[in-house]
Amino acid sequence: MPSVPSHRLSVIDLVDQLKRAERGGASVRVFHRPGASAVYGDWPTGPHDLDARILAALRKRGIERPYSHQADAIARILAGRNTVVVTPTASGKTICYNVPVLSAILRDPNARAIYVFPTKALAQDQLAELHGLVEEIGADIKTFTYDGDTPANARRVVRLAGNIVVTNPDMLHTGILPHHTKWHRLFSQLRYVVIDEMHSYRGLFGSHVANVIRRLKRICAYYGSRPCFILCSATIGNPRELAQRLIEDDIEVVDYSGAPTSDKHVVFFNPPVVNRQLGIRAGSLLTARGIAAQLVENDIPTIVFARSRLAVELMLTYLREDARRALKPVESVRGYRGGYLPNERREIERGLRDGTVRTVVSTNALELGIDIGGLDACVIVGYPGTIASTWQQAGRAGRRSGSSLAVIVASSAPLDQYIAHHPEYLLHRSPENGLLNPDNLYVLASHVKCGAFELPFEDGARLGDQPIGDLLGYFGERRLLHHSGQRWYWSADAFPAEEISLRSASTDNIVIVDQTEPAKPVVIGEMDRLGASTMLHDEAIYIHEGQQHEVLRLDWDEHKAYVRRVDVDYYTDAELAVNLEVIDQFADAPLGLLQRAWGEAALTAMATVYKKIKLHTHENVGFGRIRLPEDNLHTSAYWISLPLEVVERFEAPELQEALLGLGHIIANVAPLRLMCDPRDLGVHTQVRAPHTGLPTVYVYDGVPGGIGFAERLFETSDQLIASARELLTECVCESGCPSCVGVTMDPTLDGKSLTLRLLDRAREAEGSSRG
Amino acid sequence: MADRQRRLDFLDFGRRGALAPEPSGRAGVAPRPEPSTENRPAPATALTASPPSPWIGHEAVLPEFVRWLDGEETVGPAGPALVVRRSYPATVRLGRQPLARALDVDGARLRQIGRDDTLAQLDISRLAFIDCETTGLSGGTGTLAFLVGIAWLDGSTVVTEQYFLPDFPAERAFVAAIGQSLDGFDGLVSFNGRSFDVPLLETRFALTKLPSECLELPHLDLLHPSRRIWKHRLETCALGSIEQHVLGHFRDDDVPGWIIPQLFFDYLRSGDVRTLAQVFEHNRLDLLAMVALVGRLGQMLDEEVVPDDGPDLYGLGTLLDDLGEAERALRAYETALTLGLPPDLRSRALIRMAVALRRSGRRDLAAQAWERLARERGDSAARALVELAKHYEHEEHDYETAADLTRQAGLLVGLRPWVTGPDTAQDQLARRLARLERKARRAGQRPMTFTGGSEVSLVEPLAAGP
Repeated sequence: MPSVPSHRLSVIDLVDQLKRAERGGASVRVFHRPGASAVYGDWPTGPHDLDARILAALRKRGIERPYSHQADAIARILAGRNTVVVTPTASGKTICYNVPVLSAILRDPNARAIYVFPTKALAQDQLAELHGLVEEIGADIKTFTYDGDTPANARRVVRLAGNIVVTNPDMLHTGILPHHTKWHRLFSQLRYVVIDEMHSYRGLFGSHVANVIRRLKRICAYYGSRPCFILCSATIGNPRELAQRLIEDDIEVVDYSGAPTSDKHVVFFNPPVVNRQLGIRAGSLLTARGIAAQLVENDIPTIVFARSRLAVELMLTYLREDARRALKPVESVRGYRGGYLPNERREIERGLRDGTVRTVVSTNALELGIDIGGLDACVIVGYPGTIASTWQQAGRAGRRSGSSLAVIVASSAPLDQYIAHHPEYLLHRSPENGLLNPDNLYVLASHVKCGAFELPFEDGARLGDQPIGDLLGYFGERRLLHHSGQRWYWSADAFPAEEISLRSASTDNIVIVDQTEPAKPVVIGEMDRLGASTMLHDEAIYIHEGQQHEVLRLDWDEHKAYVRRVDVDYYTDAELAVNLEVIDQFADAPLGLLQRAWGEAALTAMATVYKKIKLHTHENVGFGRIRLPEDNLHTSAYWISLPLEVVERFEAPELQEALLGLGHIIANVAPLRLMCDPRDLGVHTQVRAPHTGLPTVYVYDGVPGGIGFAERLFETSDQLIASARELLTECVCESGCPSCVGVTMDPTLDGKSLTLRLLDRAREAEGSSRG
Repeated sequence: MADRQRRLDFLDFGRRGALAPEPSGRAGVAPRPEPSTENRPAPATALTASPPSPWIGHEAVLPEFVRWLDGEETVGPAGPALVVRRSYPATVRLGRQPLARALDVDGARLRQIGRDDTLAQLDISRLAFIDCETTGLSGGTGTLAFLVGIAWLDGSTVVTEQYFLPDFPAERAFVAAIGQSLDGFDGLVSFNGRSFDVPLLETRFALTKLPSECLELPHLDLLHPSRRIWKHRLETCALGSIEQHVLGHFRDDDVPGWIIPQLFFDYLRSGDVRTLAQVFEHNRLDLLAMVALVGRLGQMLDEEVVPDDGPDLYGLGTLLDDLGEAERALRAYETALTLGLPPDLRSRALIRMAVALRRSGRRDLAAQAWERLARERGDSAARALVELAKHYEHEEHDYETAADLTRQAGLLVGLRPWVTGPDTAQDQLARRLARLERKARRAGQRPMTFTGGSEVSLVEPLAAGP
């Protein structure tokens, strides 16, 4: 095969080839960002100068001078200021905290630090780097990870001797804070708390983590320490606000980067329209497969991001076929997502670094800063939902030298279409804000319990800046707390942190057991319950590492799904039936001729039926029923209802279409307005709402208790309607398509103009009332 | 906008507390007697949103504590504390077990029971038996001990002291009094105290900022030796189970352990110490059971009491084995086999016998034990055949018999020499067999043929044995 290399196409060649796809009806926009060279600063001098051993160790690793942002951040941290560093992928942010932390420990061997990473994988990765640096320095600095995998006999050593303890928020929550007496040496000497990947602490998870930090600060105060917080983040819109909400203290922001950047081509690829009437474009998955296959054939190290676990597995199956056809080892194409076991993941990460794995197909699990070395290309299947995520994913491609390529393949989803038509939105607009609400009642109350378990609360105490007297009284009534001598004591036979998961409402995952060989069952993965209800129901085809498995039985009570390997030419896709009930209305107001309101709502979701869909052609070849208990969500919701005088202007079938259209378009626009991930919101429509008796469209917060989306939508309803109208009128379809109001169920009706009529009702009176 | 308490109700939050009872009319605990003394503090009105709740200082609870629990006040290093003191003549029996027998357990035996050399120099009457009643089993800073029982042997009596925490704010005085009491001893005796009571007390000492050296005293935890001996017969090796099934003592009206935390929480709200009378009794009985248990373990090691039950004797054998008492262990196994053991324990006893015999150089006797095991045809038969083969190979230099035995082992594990993979038990057998066949040929013994039959014949080759 000596001739093969000469036929290989480079990244630049491939960009040209992609452009040629325009002849086939695709729309391709290419943007070139030339590389930039480094801007350096100087190591801080003066009262806070660094230990010479650190500088020598860095020099050995080829670091003579810091980048400007590193120098700036280190100087601020050494001066004892809380600091947040916001820089792109691979700009050397770990230096920003490792240098001042190690310097403090060299000066005082009793000094301690906690590093918090959102996942165990990231913690492992950073520990390896830290170990390397400590070894170069040659001092006795003890660094350990402390997480669920730490063996019981090693824990004592970590607690007593660890200078730097690397952990995750969950372990801090259940394993460290509730046992703080065992960690007294750490807490009494704690100088630094490093919180990396701060941008992942958004939404519900972030709201929980903010409360874990409140508890951490409370314990530190008890032991008389006041650590300096160092936060690091990928680019987000509001680093200062997010960091301040997380640590509830003043913070300095370093939000520029002196690191060099690589030459990069960003391609927006919108697949050709295959049915103009229905506004249907060629599928993004298959289109992306074609692009990725070329990268595989040309041996270009590539990462493919797909949005769902199912899409990852489908893509993996396809690309392995392509690799086989191109005579490449099938094992050089790997999948990576939640649900794989930890050592399986570590193996893939190693393969990426050492080059035995050339192509990896991933969910956003690899979006975070796990070190997988430089890749040359990145294919993003479908807009990831946020600007921040897009840049994180695209940042995976890019070495220090040479050109790299990022291709964003648009799906028919409205947000994707919007991005494909307006790439400048992505290129020029600042990334989303990280929203969190530490005072979400559900979250706050959970952590009041945990806090009381850790140390009794005094009368009038706060958790963070929140007064909690009413909550203490509430738990007192319920006998979880006992009040005596002006304090509230935990008084229940329970360990509250264990019942409260920081990441989702439910802690009990379904374990997937492969019974292909009945005598030798093997656990191949696990999945959360909501995911399991649609992916692991009886008779589902579950794809794991490209291998199809048929689910023999889902044992909901025992948390186990039994599967066996099969080879069939279809996959399954399940539907979720949702019902919504309004519990309490907090506010209402007119919205043009329509009505808007927000309040608390109870949702039930139940997987109902599944379809069997043929591979490659994606045609429907059968269906079956799913019998599983329903899932509940108590949250906040925003809703728009149609009063009778509006209803009267529509025929009944028309009204149905208009309502569905309104729901569809609002679901598409709301994430843009709220700057959140579309998956954080849900939309539900009712032709006759039990609450009002009127046709109603609801937008609900996907988090129990809500993190403030519903109230925000209520307040900014006018802009919401205006954006919806904009999206609708800009859409190229004739009478409604998935990119705007959804596919019209009744082909004789024009869903697009019906929805437009409804939107105008919402604006019309507003205009007249103002005028 | 709804107030936060109402919204919590809506979120169904109250019910998420694992054991959070309904706000009123909780069922399932012993009915509380009516308040009977004028001096009694008014019950804390726990049901109001913001209870005024003066804490139940020990001054307030003392009269009742004296009256109903026969307790007293004691002055500790951090203020007055509450204690119940009792003494029992050592001649008393707990079930079949005289308490006084514990007095005969010397340092050498303590060392053996605990498998801990630091116990060797100790005198049993200088040890504190300790047992905590707590607000839960989960550990962490939110779990505390509210009743700590300490017992010791004083001449011909057993003395118990039970320190009681009347309410949370009194914890420092309570913990200090416990520390003061323990400081007078040379070591601790507990049941599962190493992993439960001591770590929990360490946390309480740390939170009350009191020195906890007393918890670092030499520590004899009775759980481990008890489990070694009795786990083969008893479903659980909890102290209560041993007390019943080994010491032969049945408690009347004992309060189940899982309900104890709730009884304390109920007391906190009512201020009525009678709620806890049963808990004090339970704790005292646990202390006495530990005293009795030490005596029983001493008796067993002295061979004063020989279990009449095969599994117990096998368990005792394993304990003796651990202590390096090979001869006594062998005797125990032999007797256990005679008394009768279930098949799995039978195999394990024979394996342990064979290993102990080989280690002490009695290889022929070891071979006999392997042979007995092979004849059992149980799960361990293949291993026994291989061990026998080793014996014939290395001791008897009878490669033919050794190969034959290996082949039989192969049949048991499904050996097909031509399909084995690397590093399986089958593969190891195949390699052994090949080596033996080679050695046999070289030694001019009968040429080897594979005699794969359907029936494993254990008897013939063994008949030619010693």
